[in-house]
Amino acid sequence: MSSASKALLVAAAIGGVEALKDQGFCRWNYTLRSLHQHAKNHVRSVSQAKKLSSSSSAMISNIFNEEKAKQAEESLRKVMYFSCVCDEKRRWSDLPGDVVALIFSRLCAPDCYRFVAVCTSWSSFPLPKIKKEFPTLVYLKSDGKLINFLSPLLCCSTPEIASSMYKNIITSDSTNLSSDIEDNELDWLHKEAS
Amino acid sequence: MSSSTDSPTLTTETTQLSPQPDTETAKPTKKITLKSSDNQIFEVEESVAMEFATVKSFFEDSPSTDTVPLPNVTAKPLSQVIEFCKEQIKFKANPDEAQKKKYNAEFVTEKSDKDLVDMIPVANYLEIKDLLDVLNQAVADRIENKSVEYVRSFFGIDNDFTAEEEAALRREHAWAYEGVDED
Repeated sequence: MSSASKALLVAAAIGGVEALKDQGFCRWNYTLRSLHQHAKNHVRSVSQAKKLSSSSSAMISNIFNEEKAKQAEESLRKVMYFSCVCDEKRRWSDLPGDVVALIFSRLCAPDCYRFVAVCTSWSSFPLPKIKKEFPTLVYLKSDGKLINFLSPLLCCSTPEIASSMYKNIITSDSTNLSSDIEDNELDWLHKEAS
Repeated sequence: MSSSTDSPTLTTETTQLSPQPDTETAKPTKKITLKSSDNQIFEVEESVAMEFATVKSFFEDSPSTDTVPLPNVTAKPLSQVIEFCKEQIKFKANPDEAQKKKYNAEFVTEKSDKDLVDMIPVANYLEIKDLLDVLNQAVADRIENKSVEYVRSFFGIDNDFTAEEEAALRREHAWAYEGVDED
């Protein structure tokens, strides 16, 4: 097989990966690995082609072959280059889901619930569960003797939003938050008693 | 495409990364050449290159090669990643948690938003977990409590929602839009 057609094959394979990516069938990381693999194959195929061309120099015009190998290398470099430029432009909208998830995991719940509106691919990330240890608001009850813990998420301005949020908490985490508050109250009562 | 303004800095970074004569004579170590997608050559010590899990596995697959092509990595983020890994190796040899924390914090604070954002895919591709952790935390700190529009421009993301879809999402999570910082 001539080096030119080999290079074309690799280029076609990259095109295939790109197409797959467009269809959302493979993840970003996988694409990178494939590209990497192709790069390796490319290195091998070009060196093979060079070996071939030098050994057959007696039969065919060596210069012609070298020229072809060079051309193939050049065209492949262009393909690689363009696929990289492509990545450069859109890599953050179809960024590796796991990386965005890692960033999300370091954000507070309201940030995550807001950032799903950034772009369509971000909207498909699973939203964080509202954890038991989600920071709670500490306040004194009117008699000043009892300390209460309340999730700020439940202190929304309109009861409608608060109730929908409450639903979110229950559906995303089977733990009933109100029982947490009671537990906390009990803990404090115990502490006060002891 | 690397802009003309980038080129001079890239060249100086490449020269900085080439072996220093005094360390060369004191301790001859194996050098590994990394080639970025924009054809910049980086010569790094083997220990630094082995910090990159992707490069490490490349060498396990084909030990005879001495140049590793990195088709998804451009020179600028790569040079910054190498800089980070060099420091991490020093901390490995000489563990000092406080110093390491200080260095990591300084490393990210002095970087522009774009530099951070550009480094994350590189750290992810090269599988440098420590750096990815540091970068993710830094990015999370910078976008914390920011608006959706701010985050889009931060990452350079185009809004691909229809107006209706976006409005629906905003309505659904209306509570999350309260008390957001000014851009």
